[in-house]
Parts: sequence; C-alpha cells; structure tokens
Amino acid sequence: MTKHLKEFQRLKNAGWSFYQRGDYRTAATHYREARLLAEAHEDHINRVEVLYWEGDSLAAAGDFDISLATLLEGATADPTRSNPVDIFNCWISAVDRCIKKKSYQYLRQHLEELHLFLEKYGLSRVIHKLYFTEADVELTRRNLEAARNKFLLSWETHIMRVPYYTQATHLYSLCYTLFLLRDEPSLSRWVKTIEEIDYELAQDRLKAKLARLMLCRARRFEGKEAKIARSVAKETMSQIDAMNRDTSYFEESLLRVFLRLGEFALVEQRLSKLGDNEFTLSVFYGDLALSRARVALGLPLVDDEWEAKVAPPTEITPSFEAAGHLEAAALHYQDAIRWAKDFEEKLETRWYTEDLQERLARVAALQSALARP
Amino acid sequence: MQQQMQTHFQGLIQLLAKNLYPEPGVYLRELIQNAHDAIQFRRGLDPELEGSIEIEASVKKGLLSFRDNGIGMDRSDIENFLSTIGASGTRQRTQELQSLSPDELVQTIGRFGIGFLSSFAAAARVEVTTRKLGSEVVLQWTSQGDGFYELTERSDIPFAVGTQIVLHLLPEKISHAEESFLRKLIRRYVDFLPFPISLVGRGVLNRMSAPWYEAEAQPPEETYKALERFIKERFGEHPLWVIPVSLKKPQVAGVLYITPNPTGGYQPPMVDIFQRRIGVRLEDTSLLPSWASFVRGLIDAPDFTPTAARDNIQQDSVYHEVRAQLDQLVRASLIHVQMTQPRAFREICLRHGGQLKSVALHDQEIFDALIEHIPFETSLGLLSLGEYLLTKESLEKTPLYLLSQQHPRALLELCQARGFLAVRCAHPLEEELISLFCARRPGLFEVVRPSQELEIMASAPEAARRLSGLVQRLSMVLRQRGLLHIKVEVRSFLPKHLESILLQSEAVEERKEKLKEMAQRLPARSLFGEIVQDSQEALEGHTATLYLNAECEAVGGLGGAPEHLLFGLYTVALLRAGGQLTKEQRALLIAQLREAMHAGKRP
Repeated sequence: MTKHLKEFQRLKNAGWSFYQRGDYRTAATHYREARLLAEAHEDHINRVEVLYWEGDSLAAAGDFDISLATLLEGATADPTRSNPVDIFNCWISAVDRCIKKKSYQYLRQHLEELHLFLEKYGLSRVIHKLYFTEADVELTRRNLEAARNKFLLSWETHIMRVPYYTQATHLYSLCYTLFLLRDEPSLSRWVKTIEEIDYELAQDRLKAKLARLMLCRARRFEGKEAKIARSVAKETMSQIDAMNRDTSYFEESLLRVFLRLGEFALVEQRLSKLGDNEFTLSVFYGDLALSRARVALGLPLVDDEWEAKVAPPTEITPSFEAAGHLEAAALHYQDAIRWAKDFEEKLETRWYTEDLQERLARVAALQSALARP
Repeated sequence: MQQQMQTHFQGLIQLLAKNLYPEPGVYLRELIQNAHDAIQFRRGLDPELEGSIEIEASVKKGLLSFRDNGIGMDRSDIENFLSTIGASGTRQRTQELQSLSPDELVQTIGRFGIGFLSSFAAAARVEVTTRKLGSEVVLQWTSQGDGFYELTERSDIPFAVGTQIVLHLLPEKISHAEESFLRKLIRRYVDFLPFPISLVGRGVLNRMSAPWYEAEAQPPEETYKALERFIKERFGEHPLWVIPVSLKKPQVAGVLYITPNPTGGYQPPMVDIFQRRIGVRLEDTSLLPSWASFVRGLIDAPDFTPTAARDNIQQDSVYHEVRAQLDQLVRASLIHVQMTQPRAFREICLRHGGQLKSVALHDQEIFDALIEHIPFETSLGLLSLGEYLLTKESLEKTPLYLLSQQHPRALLELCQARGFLAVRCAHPLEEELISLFCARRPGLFEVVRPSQELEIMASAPEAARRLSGLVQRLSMVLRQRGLLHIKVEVRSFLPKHLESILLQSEAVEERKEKLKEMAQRLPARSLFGEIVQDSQEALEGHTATLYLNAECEAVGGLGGAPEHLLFGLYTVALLRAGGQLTKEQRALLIAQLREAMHAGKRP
C-alpha cells in the first residue's frame, strides 16, 4: 500500500470512529482531509467514496447546505473513473436532501434515472436505498399507503442484501408511516421487530426507543403506559442531549410524547431544537397552544397527530386563558397552512392543509363551546 | 524416454539481463564483483597482494574493458565457469578453498554464476583474456553471446596474472563507456570495495572505504562528523541527525540519517542495502519502518541472503530481525536527540512535525517520550506543551483553546493579546493528539473548542454606532466587488493594531468554487443543473463576517477614505486568515493592489 493510501485509510478510519461516536462534525473534518488527500493524488475512486461520507457527516452535523454541495460533487463524478456505487450513494443522498424543495416530477425524474443507473452498473445490491428514498418521497407527500409499501420493500431488500442503511433506518420510517396510517396492530408488530435487533450505533438504539414511544402514543398511554413512557422519554432526552449532531429529527418525535403527557414547559423550552423549519415550528406551536387550552378548559389531553377526529366537548370549565391559547393556536395553524402551500404544490399533495384544517376545526369547536353561555 | 530440454541461449541471456537488474548497466557491478572475487582468492594465497581493477573505456571505439590482478583462470576454469550458465566459480572455488583458508578470508560475494553472462545484454562480443596464478599460459575466450565460443592460447602477448574482459558494446549501449555513467555506477554499487577501481587516465573512482569499515575506534564526535561528511558526499544532503548503525547479531553496519527535506509523510523511508561492500538493493523502501518516512541511509548487512539476481534480499528471519532492530534504533535515536539536543530535535519537528505527530498518535512509546516536546502553532508562538507547562505557575487546569483549520490564524493573535493559550491545529490529527494528551494527563489542561465567534471579541455597541457610516460604505464596496456574502460588524478586540479579521468557513468557500465549476460543466437544464443552481443559491446565504476592530485607531480614521483603502480592510483580513485563497479571492486581491497603485499615481 502506498504512503498516501495508508494515510487516506487512517483518516477514513478516524472519520468512521468519530461518526460512530456521534461526533459528526469531527468526522466530517477527517473525511474532508481524506478527500483532499485523494484529490491531491488524483485518486478518483477514493475521492468519491469519502465525498459520500463527508456529505453524510455534514448533514448529520446539521450543515445541510454544504452537505448537499458535497454530495453533488460525488453524484456528478465520472462513473468510468470512480466506483458507481459511491456515485449512487452520493446521488441518492442528494435527492434525499431535496425532497421538500423540489417538485414531485423532478424528484421522480431523478428516481427513474437512478433505477436505470443501478441497472446499467448491475448494482441491485443497493436498491434498498432507492426504495427507501422513494418511500420517503411518498411519506413526505403523505401518500401513506404507497410509502408503507415502499418502506416494506426497502426493508425486505435490505434484509436480503448487504446492509447499508442500518436496519433501524428502514424500520423507524416504516413505524412512523404506520403511525400516520393509524394502523396500531401493524405498528405494534414492527415496533417489536425494531426492538429485537442489537444495534451498533447510538442513533439506532434511539430510533428503537422512539418507535416504542410512538406505540405508547397510539395506545393512548393506557394503564401504566404513561408512567413508563415518561421515564423512557426522559432517558431518551438525555441521550439526545449527549449527541453531537443535528437532532431535530429525533426531537420532533420526542416532543410529541412530552406534549401528550402535558409537559408544556419542557416542550416550550426545547422547541428551538426543532431547527428552523417554519412549517414544523408553526404546527408545534399550534398544537402546544391547543393542548394548553384543553387543560385550561378541564378537558383530557389529546394527541392531535394520532387522532383522526376529536369529538366536540360536552362540558368545559370556562377560562379566559383558554381563549387566548385557542386564538394563538389558530394563528399558528394558519401560518403553517401558508408555509405548507409552497411544498404541497411542488409535491402535488393537499394532505398537510387538510390535516391543519381539521386542527382548525378542533380549535373552532372549543371556541364555540367557550362562547356558549 | 528422457530427453534434454532445448535452451535458446541468446533469448535466455537477454531475459536474464533485462529482467534481473533494476537499472541499466548493473552488469558492470557483476563484472567488478567477479574481479573482486578473483582478487580475494589470490589474496588467500598471497596476503600481501595489493588488488586493483582498471577500467578502460572508449565511446569512440565502443569498447569497455576491465582488468584485474586476481587469480586468473585456466582452460578448465573457463570451460566450467565461464561457459556454463548457472555454475558459479565462486561457489565451487570456495568449497575448494575452504580447507585452506578461514571463512573471513574468502569474503566472496558472487554466488550464482549468471552475472558474467549478463554482459551480453550490452555487448555484441565479449573477449576474456586471462592467465592463472602459477601458469605461463595466456588464454583468450571470445563469444558473441549466441551459445558458441572460441578458446585460444595467446602465448604471443605478454600478460600478467589476472583477467581482462573486453566488451564490444552494442550501438545502443555505447553510452555505457561514458565516464559519467561509469563513475555513477561505481559510486552507487561498488564504492567501498577495498582496492582501487580506476579509470585509465582519470584515476581512482571509488572511495574504497566508509567510516564504519575503519578498524580504529574514534571518539564518538569524530565518528559523527565522519558520517556526516559521508552523507553529504554520497546523498548530497546535510543531515538533521545522524544515526550510526552497528548491530552485532545479525551483523549490520552503516549509517541512517534524518533528511532535511520534508517528505510530506508520503515518501517512504529509503536505505541503500549493501552486502560485503557491494550494493545489492539501492533505495530500498521496505526495510526501514514505514512510519520513519524521514529516514534515509546506507547499511551493509553480510548476514542477509540475496535473491538470485542479487537485486534484492530475501525476507527471511534475519531480514525481519534486522528490520525490528532498525525500528528500535530509530526510535531510540529520536528519543535520544530530544533529550540531548533539543535544538536539533526542534529542527526535526519543523521539517517533519506532521509525520512525527502521526507516529506519536499511534505509537505509545513515541507518544510518551515525545509528546511534550513536539511544537505546535500556538498563541504564544511555536511552542511544545512541555515548554508551556514549565512556565505555568498555578496547579489549576489551564483552558486550552483548540482552534481547527477552520479558524483564521488571526485568532491566535487575539488569544495572545488576552493571555489565552490557543493551539491552531492545521490537521485533524493534531486535534486528536492534543485531546489524547489531555485525556492521558488529566489535570493539566481543559480543552475548549470555541465556536466561530470567540468570547475573545467583545461587542462594542458604542463604537458600532460611531462607525456605522464606515460599515455601510464598506458593505457597499464589498457588494460592488461581488462579495455579497460578507457581513461587516464592529467588535472590540486586542491587539489594538489589528484592523480587521475575517471569519469564514474554508469548507464553504471550497464548496462554492466547486459548485461554480459544476455549473459550468452541467447545463442548467440538465438533470443536475437545477439542484446545482439551488445549492449555489443556498451557499450564497452562508455569510462570512468581517470584524472591524473598534480598538484600532486606523479603523476609526478610515471614515472618508477612498474605496480601495476601505477594501484593504477586507484584503488584509483575508491574508491574515491564513487559508488558501480561492481563484476569486486572488483576482480581487490583485485588482485591489492595482487600484491602489493607480491611485498612488494620481496627483
């Protein structure tokens, strides 16, 4: 092995060890060094391989814009001088980063090209990644049944082929899709599967815990579940806090549990950890205000994401405070509808607006109950 | 029925000559080696003999001849050894002479009997004239390398005991008769043979010895100086440190040294391997430990077993033992030089610091011995952690600001002005090394990994108001020059003379440049064109911040300054940042200097 390859390997190994520890920023720095070294030696194969890991680490560290630019360099590399698998990895990850930003047609065009690319280079062993991204696109459009079917396919091909995305990656997304489909029996079955696997990465263990918490929400915290969920959620929170990465993905799921458990102060304090996605923030602020209104009105707490319909209250405790919360909730939901408009148009869906309109109807029902003499 | 295999003699010769040797002309080594062996045999019988090898060369005539005063050959020797492939005169004769002389007397080198025939790779015809010790008969052997030879008695010519080999060079090998070519080969392969190898009319070409062959013991300083001189003469380098080699078992003598030329860690260590004064493998890259890329040298290892072609040595247990002992020797020398010659050690660190740090990271022994002594770029200048600890007065943990290559170098100055200890790590391995040091020696430092905006810069609201006009003008000047992503802010920081510093991410700048290249390569309407454009727009939003120093008098006075001077606040900060300039930044810098020059011309 030549000297540069030894050093390249050392940097790559160090990058992987930081990646495993969850220190993604340091991992990205090592991968960048390795890539610069490969570049200096015109070593295209290794350059493109680490471009993927550099881009992935940057994304995990929350540097999404630089991550995309990095992945694009790998995605547009020459397949005759690099390993097509690495090009594919960069390409699919670049598409992943664009899901909410680009039109459905444009995304489909890339996904179709990716199918052709895999065929051309005989790369069926990594097709699960493509199925996963296709599922992700459908999930984002809330075309939930199509998403579920694709996630099942990605999981199945992943089991049959060499692992690339970790098992938890597929299973967690499948569980979330089943949650949105409100299919509690299937969710219960798959949560069992995700929990049975031994994981190497901390983030995978976290996904298994979050899937369990999702199931608690689906079961409406019956019996002792509220107590168990609270303790699991607190433990998960400290694990998330210890991670040196972008945790908005995990945070959203966790905050939903705390919201349902009525830990409003904690939710409010941690909302900044959701990142700067205005749509998500508006929905969350709306749900928080609506939940506070319910408590002020003496009503039981409701999981607004899980419940398809909420029956209008028969009896309430009059409260000025609740009126303020309801007004705020309505404003936040309307904001969210405005934010949703842009990506809904691109993704050819109306799911988000309709979902938010259902939330607004819940607000309106409480407002009219409050207005009743 | 058993049949004899057919041999294509000429083809075999060409094959041997072309494939066995690493560089052209190494057959000359073989011929000189044969001459050396012959002299050694004669010395076995006549210890007083002063051996000599004379070379005569004529480019014009295309002739190259080698004359030795060794033992010579008779008819039977010629038939047995010169005309039979694979028979080794040396081996057979050594057996014969073993009962007569001790091993060390017959220090012969040749073993395989194929070296002589390799001369046909360069010669169209070879003539060997020889007279054996104790015989009056002069024999002449001639061959064109085609499997046939003529052997005649030449009693008509006077010929002293010994052998002369004349090569009639092939037209394409005529340059082998050039003095410079011969000189180079002799210096490289047979420089230390203990008798003169002279080129007729030019004198002796070889040095005949090297410091480690000298029998008399010299004071260590003298030996060091002699080895240093040797390195300068042979390798043309002034060594940073000399490592004498004298291993007893297996027996190895020679010299290693630390090269003054930075190797970047990518060049392997190199050593010339000799066996009994004859170069076997030059510039070998596998015997020395691969971590010691900064080490070069030459060793003579008589216990090594050469391969058939004598272009390498066999990687047997002796080889591995020598390898392990040389590894230990280089380690011990590094530790020794650090302990006894701190200045020399610092010099080594300056040239090979990156490599030493990389070794320390993976080698506990080197780490323990050297980590406190390897200098880093710190806010107090080039300083080792040990040197800092010596100046430390309190027992409390010192905060150590670990700046990565993303941080501008100017932050070191800021830290220095505030009395903070900061280390700027130009490579991630330095960060790893310092973190490892702090983990293994807890209680000394508390590592602080600052964000881009350090607490060493205080906000200066009052000054910001006062300088708001300047900030506005400068922002406009930057925008006019296409620098849309640079934010200008006023802060207060030390040292006072620092006008401005620029905090930007090198990774972002690199990405912007790469995206620009991609955009040129990929049409906007292509599949990737759209995302590339989006990505470019997204990165435009990543601002760099140009901080103006409210403490600096010069900044306050720039309110009404012309544009090119205002722009200087950016270029000065850019250069201070210390990173690599992008093409765009270089172009802007040149434009600014031009503008300043032209402004100077105006009345």
